[in-house]
Parts: sequence; structure tokens; C-alpha cells
Amino acid sequence: MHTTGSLVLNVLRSSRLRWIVVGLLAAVVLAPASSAHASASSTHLAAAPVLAVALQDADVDADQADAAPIVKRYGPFEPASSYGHRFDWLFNFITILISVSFLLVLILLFIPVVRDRAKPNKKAHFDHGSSLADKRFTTIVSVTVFIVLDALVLYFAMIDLREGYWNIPRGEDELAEAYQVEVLGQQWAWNFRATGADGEFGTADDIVTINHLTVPQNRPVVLNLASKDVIHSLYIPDMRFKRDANPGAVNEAWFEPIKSGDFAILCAELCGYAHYQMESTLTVLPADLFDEWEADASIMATAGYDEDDTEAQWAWDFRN
Amino acid sequence: MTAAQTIPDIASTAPRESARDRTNARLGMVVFIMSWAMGVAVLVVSFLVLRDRQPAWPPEGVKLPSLPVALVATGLLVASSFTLHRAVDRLRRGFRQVNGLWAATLILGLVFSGLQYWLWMDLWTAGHQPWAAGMFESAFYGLTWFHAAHVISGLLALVVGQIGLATGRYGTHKTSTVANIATFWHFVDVVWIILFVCFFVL
Amino acid sequence: MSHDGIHPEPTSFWRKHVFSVDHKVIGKQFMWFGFAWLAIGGMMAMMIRWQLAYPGTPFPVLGDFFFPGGVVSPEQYNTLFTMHGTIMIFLGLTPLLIGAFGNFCIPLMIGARDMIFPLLNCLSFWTLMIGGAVAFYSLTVPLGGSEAGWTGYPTLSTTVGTQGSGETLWAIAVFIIGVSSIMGGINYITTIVRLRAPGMTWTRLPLTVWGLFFTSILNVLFLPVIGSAMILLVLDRVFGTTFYVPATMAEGGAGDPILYQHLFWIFGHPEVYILILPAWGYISDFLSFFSRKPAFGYRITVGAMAAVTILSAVVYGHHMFTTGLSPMLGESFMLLTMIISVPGEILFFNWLHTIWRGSLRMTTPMLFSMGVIFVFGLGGLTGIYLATISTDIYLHDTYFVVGHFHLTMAASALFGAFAGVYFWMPKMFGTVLNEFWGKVHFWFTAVPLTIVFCTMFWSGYAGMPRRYYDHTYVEYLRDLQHLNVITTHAALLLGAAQVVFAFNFIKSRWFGQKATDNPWEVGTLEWTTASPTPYFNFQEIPVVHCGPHEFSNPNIPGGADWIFQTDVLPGEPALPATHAPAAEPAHSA
Ligand SMILES: [Cu+2]
Ligand SMILES: [Cu+2]
Repeated sequence: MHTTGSLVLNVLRSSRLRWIVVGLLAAVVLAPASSAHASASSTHLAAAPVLAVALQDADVDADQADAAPIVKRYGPFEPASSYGHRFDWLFNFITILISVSFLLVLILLFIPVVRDRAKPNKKAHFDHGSSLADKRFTTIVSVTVFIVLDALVLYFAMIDLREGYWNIPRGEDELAEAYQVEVLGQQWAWNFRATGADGEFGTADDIVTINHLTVPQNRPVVLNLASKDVIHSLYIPDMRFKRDANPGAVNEAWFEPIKSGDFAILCAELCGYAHYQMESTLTVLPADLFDEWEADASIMATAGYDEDDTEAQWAWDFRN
Repeated sequence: MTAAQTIPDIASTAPRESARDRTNARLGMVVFIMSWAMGVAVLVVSFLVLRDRQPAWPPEGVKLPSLPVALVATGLLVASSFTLHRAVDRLRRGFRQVNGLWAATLILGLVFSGLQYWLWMDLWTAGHQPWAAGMFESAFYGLTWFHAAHVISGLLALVVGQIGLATGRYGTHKTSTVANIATFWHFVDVVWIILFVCFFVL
Repeated sequence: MSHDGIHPEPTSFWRKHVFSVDHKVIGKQFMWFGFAWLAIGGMMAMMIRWQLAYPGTPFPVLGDFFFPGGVVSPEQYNTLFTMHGTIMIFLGLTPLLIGAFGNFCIPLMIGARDMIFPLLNCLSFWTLMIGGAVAFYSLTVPLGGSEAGWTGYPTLSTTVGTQGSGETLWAIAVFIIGVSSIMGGINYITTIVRLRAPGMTWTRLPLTVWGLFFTSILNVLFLPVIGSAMILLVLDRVFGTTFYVPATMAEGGAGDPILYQHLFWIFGHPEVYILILPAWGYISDFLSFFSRKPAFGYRITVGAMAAVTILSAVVYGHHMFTTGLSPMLGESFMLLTMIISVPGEILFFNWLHTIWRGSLRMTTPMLFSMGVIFVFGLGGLTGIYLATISTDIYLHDTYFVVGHFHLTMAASALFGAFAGVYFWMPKMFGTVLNEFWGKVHFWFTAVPLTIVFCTMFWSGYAGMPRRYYDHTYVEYLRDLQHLNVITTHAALLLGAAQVVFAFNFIKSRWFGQKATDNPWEVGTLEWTTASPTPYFNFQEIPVVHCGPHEFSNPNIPGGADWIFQTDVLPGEPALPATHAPAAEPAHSA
């Protein structure tokens, strides 16, 4: 046998050398994790609580100290929409439920591992689990788990859906109250169109923007989404909002911002090689500032309106 | 238990298939047809869903290929199923001579293929190509091509059956293969009838 | 003369090792095929992870071997994760879990000499080989491989979104692989229905066979669905039809891209169970074997698997909650998805009950079986977030989903496959895998794997979308990059652990300790023959007298805690009258 081959085989045969190989293996792979990114891998993972809503960490990577400091994050930011807290609450609720369930599974898994190891002269308990009592027990357990785990979550989800995501403003009055936006996804940008000061789509003062959407605070924003080419998905994490923009069909969705400021808009559906570059901005303005902005923007839009520029009138066929 | 074992009692030449062999082969074919029927169902349902979305059907400007020709083609295919069924039935009842019926099936299938080609040309020369971006063109060519692939497979299987019958490989002593070929051909027939209803009746 | 798929032993090299119709050889072929593709898909995963943790930094070790400058471009990155998914599911796990063990175990466990259609079996493998070749070839075409994700949603997957033949070849490869799986499914179903040995009643089948049986049913019914979807996609791409191209496109059209999503997930959700059902079957058996206790609630376990099989067809809508389903449809799918968790939870209950008060032998297959309980527990429970529409809307298409489905369908299936490899190795190759390195392999797989996918839960929960080339490009996600780094390091360790396995496997295969006929002391039929199995499996077709899990039965004579299924338990009738050897008809030549 070749020398290298036999050396390797000897290493495998010797029990002490085996452990050395195992140690080396662990060291090689863990080394980069523990040196350059020590703060990232070890300390904070352990500290991250399961129920973190937006646990923020003041630690700053040493090599990025001169750039804008990056504050490590382990969860989403506080919800900024009227129904956002519903997601957070239900998420945490499910987390508690499944943590308890999983803990139970682990306990039931580890008790036998510790207690019921094979020993000489000890036989396992002989039980096919096919008696009527066993079947009854299985049924009771599964019904209980279904009620506690699934039915309860289902119940809360139904309430959340009715009062949250599916409670889209409808009808003349509610829509007049709401701020309507038409969204057109394309490779790789978001086009937005709002009515402008006159409150009507398809007029010269329509506010058309790319990659930047401005909406009023504390007013429902109703979005009509479609796409020019491939499927995109409008994702605003801080609003707990996501809806696909499909080519060939218009999707309706809504959210109501309750905080002002700038928020990130991302694309959540794979849409080609620059999918990751579709980051846009959502600006939420308080009512008075928003009215000012809308008036200005409408005037600008009217001034720049060109009747022959059919490209810019993209959303007009949304309504037929 | 030892590794050295004598070769069990098996025969490399098969003089006669047992009832058990026939059931095995038939069951395999039934599972296959169930599976393939799912694929066909998906295509047909997709077509019906998409057709429902169109503002008008048949879409404006589309002239359906000749109905009489399609009717004749359907009739021939149904007739070929009958001759094939007769052939297998005779074999099962112990009559050796089925070559004629089998050949008739093959010829009917070939004539059907010719008429199918004629239907395509009828639509094609009227200016409807598959890339015309309309649902009628997409669906008609797409689904009939899919069916035509099965017709070709079926015809090849029929040729295999014909040769086997002529050389005595299949016969009254071995009917499962020819019965399975027949089942496949009936399946192809049924799919055509569904397509015919989809395009010419509904 | 009944054949039941019996054929004489071949003598030529080609018929013996390449175009063999012997189920054991085909099983091994599937196994090598699966291992090779798992390695390729795993390499792709490592490259994806490297790019995500250190975007723009050249690969370590690999350097610029695959990509100029050692850095993938966004297009190549999309190809990487598309093919990673396709390869792992269709060319890695499916051949290993269903092709390898299905072929090897079904005839042996039901007491048959081969599959019922040996030639179809051979054809199934070589069709898969062609599918694999087409998939591989698609990576080399001028405009690059498929870039539309393993789900291949139109209109990104039509010529609107991707040019070139890569995507077309991908669709063709998926179609061919589907045909191969259907062939296998037909064979498995017919074999299990028709070739069970005398006395092997449905309630005496090992749960492994039950798992494979249900998987085959799903294969046969739902692979044609994706087959048809792929036909329409290829027609759209090659012949310019417009099944998936809507009327609003500049190019014109009359179709609907959402139709594809329905078709894909009608197949796609059962596909999850196609991969997981065999693994469930294996571990249901292994947990009983290595606890030396009967599988708890055998009939309920089978019933639960059957329920999952049926329900899997009607829950697919949970993949489309953000697509634009009507609220009514959405709520129905949410309810149905919740209901499918009940049989899953019954399985957990039975597994945990099986090991309770057993006499546990902590062998490597047992460790991996318990690993399935762990990872599937984690994955299954986190599925509740995604079944619930009001939480799914936020989590959809984020790393949360990636973590979830890797734990459920990838990790569980992989652990089940590893358990199977360690367990059946003696019967397949006649040698034993080294237990020490097996345990090292288990722990160095299980721990990093948990870290990899649990970190993904965090990053997904924090809002990190999946299929992003570079998360640091997005300002909003820059403060989550540290999670990506952790995931990547754990993933590299996970990859390295598989080298241990490969080494152990190759070493044990050729230089390993010779196996005895029944090293695990288990009673199912495959252990009644020699290791490795002789060509005709059984000298005589065995006659079965008891179930597969009669462990620690007090009636077993001689102080042993197990008996073969061919043994008669004292005090039990030898064989039900209906299963007397009359099942084999009299030979009439
Ligand atoms: Cu996009
Ligand atoms: Cu699913």
C-alpha cells in the first residue's frame, strides 16, 4: 500500500489520533469565526432572546469604525403601521407555543436517551401501542395539540386578517378618506403614481415617482400593484407589508402608517439579476407637511406633463 | 444462512404466462394510465381556465380548422380502437389469427395522423402560427402536439405488437403485452375525443 | 410459469454493472448517483454561502477555478441557487431516498427476488441519468444556466425574463427526471401490491415499505403535474406560445403566469412529502429496531402517513398567500394546512412513545433517526408561522422560509438517508461503516446544521429577503450581515463534516470490517439472507409468520429479544389461512 494511504489508515485506526483529527477539523472551520468576527459569532448569538422584537446591540465592528457605525440587529424594527403590532403579537404568541411544544419533544426525547440505555439483562417494555386505551390516548393528545397549537393560532389569525390585512378600504367614502397609489414593478425599479392634489388618476397633475413613495401619516394607503415584465413583490418590512406585483393582473392591498420618517422598500420576489438592487424609499409625512408636499409636487408634475409621452402614462390602463 | 446458494428454479424461456403474470402486467399499466391521465388532466384544465379568461371564444379573427375533417379523423380513431379491442378479445378467447385486425388498427392510426397533419396545415396556411400570441393558437398547437407525440408512441407500439404477433412472440400464450399496447391506444383515443370536444364542440 | 420479474444472472460486464436489471445493482447505482449530485449541490451551497457572507471576496481554496476572479456575478449567483435547489431535490435526495433504498429494500423487505418490472427499473435509472446530463449541460450553454429559481416562476422563466437555452434545458431536465420518477413509482406500487411473500400481510410490512409506498403514490400522481407545467413552459420558450405570458406584455400574449404557480405547487407541496415520507418510514422502523421495542401504534402510524399523503394534495395554496389568492381561498388553505399538522404530530407522538422505556442502542442510524425528530420538530413547528396568513405575509420569501423548508424537507430527508446508509450498508456492500466516524459525522452535521438554519430564522424574522446576491448592497439589511457570517461559518463546518462521511464510506466500503448476516439483530426479511445479498435474494421465497417489530416479546424463546419475521411466535397461529403458499400458483410449463 502507498505510504500516504497507509498513514491515513493508521491515523483512522489509532483512537488517540482520531480525536486529534476531530479537533483539527473543528479548529480549522471555527478559526475564522472566532478571530475576525468574534463579536458576530459567539457573544451575541447566545445573547439573542427568542422574543426579540428589535434587540439592538451597541457593539460596532472594529474594521468598520471609520464608516457609518453599524448597529447589529436580531429582529425587525418596531412596527410602523396600524396593523403591524398584530404580526408582532401573533409571532411572539406562536413562538411561545412552539417553544413549549419543542421543549416537551426534547424532554421526551432525552429522558429515554439517559434512562433507557441498553443494559445487560434488561429488556425493553413490550408494548405494541395498539390497545383501545392507547388509541384513545393518541386521539386525546392529538386533538388537544390541534386545539392548543393550531386552532388557537387560526382563531387569532382570522381576527387579524379581518381587522388587518383584509380590511381594505372600499367604497366611495372610505376610498376618499384613503390615499391611493398605483404601483408598477419593473426590472429593476418601482414606479409609483398618486392622484396629486385633484384627487383623480389620469390627469396632468398625477405625481409619478421612481423608487420613492411619499404617503401621509395616519391615513390608510391603498395600493394597486401590477408589473411590467416579471413578478415582483413590494415588501415594506417596517409596515409588515408584502404583496406581489404580477404582470397581467392588479393586486389590491393596504397599510396605514402610524409613524413618520423614511422606511425601506424591498423587492421580495426573484425578478432577475438585479433583484437585490430594487431598494426604494417610503417617506411618511405628518398630515400638514404632507399636504404641503402634495401641493408642490402636483404643481411640478403639471409643469412637467407631456401629453405625448405615453411611457409616463403607464398606469392609466390600470382602470380599464 | 450462507452466501453460496443454488440458483432458484427459474426459466429463461417463457412458454406460457400465468394468470398472475397477466395481473402483474395489467396492474402496472393501470398505474401508468392513472399517472398519465393526471398529466393530461392538467393540460386540459389549464386550457379551460385560460380559455375562460379570453374575451371571446373562438377569439376574433380565428377560423377553426375544418370540422368535417376533424370529425372524420375522430371517427377513424374510434374505429381503430374497435378493431384493436376485437383483436385482443379474439386472442384472449384463443383465436390465433388477429394480424389483419391489428394491421387495420395500424392503418387507421396512420390515416388519422395524416388528417391531423391536414388540420395543422389548414390552420397554419390561414395565418395562425403557434407564436401568434393568441390563446387559440397556443392551445391548439400545444395540446395537439402533445397528443401527436402519444399517437406516434402508440403507432410504434402497434408496430412492435404487429411484429411480435407475426413472429409468434405474442399470441394466445402471451396476451399481456398486446393488451397493454391496446390500453395505451385506447387512452390516446380518449384523449383525442377530449381535445375534439374542447376545440370543436365547446 | 410465473416470472415475477425473475431473470437469470448476467455474465457480461455491461449487463452486470452498467445496464443491470437487478434491483440491488440499480439501487447502488442510484446511491452513487445521489451522492455525486449531493456533493455538487453541496459545493454550490458553499459558494452561495461564501458570497453572502463575504460578497465580492474571492473563494478560499477554490480560487478562480469556477469563476473568473473567484467571485460569482449576480447572474451566476442566480444560477447557483437555482441549480442548488433543483439538484438537491431532484438529483440528490430523490435518487438517494427513493431510488437507492426503494430499489434495494422493497424486494428484500417484502420477500421478493426482484422488482416486478426489472427492465423498467433499469430504464428509470438511465432516464434519470439523461435528466442529470441535461441539467449539467444546461450549466455550460453560452448564456448560462437557469436563473429563475428552482420554482421557475414565469414570466421570469419565459423569454420575457431569461434568454438563452439554459432555462429551456432546465425545464426539459425536470421533465425527464419526472418521467424517471414515474417509472420508479409504477414499479414500486405494483411490486408492493403483487410481490409480497406469503404471509406478508399489509399489517406486517415494515414501515419503511409503507413510507416508500405512499411516496410512490404521490410520485405517480403529481410528477405528471409538473411534467405538464414544464411542457407548457418549453412551448412558451421555444415556440412562442403564450400559456404563461399575459396580455399586458409588450410582446403580447393571452395567458396567465399565476396558472404556473398553481400547477407548480400542486406538485410542489406533495414533493415535500415525496422526500419526507420515505425518511419517516425508515426512522419509524429504526427507532423501533434500536429501542428493541415494537413500533408504537403501527396502524396509527400507517394511517397518519396515509392522511398526510391525501392531505398533501389540497394544501398547496399556502405557498401563494401573497400572490393574490382571494381571502376565502386563502383561509381555506390556511385551515387545511393546519389540519395536515395533526397526522404529523401523531407521528411524533408515536416515535417518542416507541423509544419510551425501550432498551436503547445508540448506534449511528439511531442517532440520525433521533436527529430527524429534532430537525423535523424544529422545521415542522416553525411551519405554523408560515401556514398562518397574517404572519406569513411578512415572512414570505425571507430567510425564515429558507430555514424552515431546509429543516423540514432537506435536513430531515438527509438525516433519514444517512440513517439508511449506515443501517443498510452491511446488506448492500457486506461491510460495516465505522461507528466512531459515524458518530463524529452525526455530531458535526447536526450541530452546524441547526446553527445554519436557526440563524436563518433570525435573519428572516428581521426582514432579510431570500435570493439576494448581496445583502450588504441594501442599506436596510447591512446591520444583519453578522447573521450571514455565522450561517456561512456553520455551513462550511457542515460541508467539512461530509468529508468525514465520504472518507468513512469509501474506507469502509473497500477496506472495512466484513459484516455478519444480521449485525443489528433485526427481524425484517432482508436480514434473513447473507451480507452482501446473493443474486436471487432468497434461496426460497420466505414465508412470513409475524410482524417486523416483535422486539422484547416475552414469548420469544431462548432469552433473545428479537425474532425473524419468518419465525413462528410460540402460541400464535403459524400463518393465516388466506396466505397459505397458494399465492404462488402451480407451475405449468
Ligand atoms: Cu423585483
Ligand atoms: Cu407546502
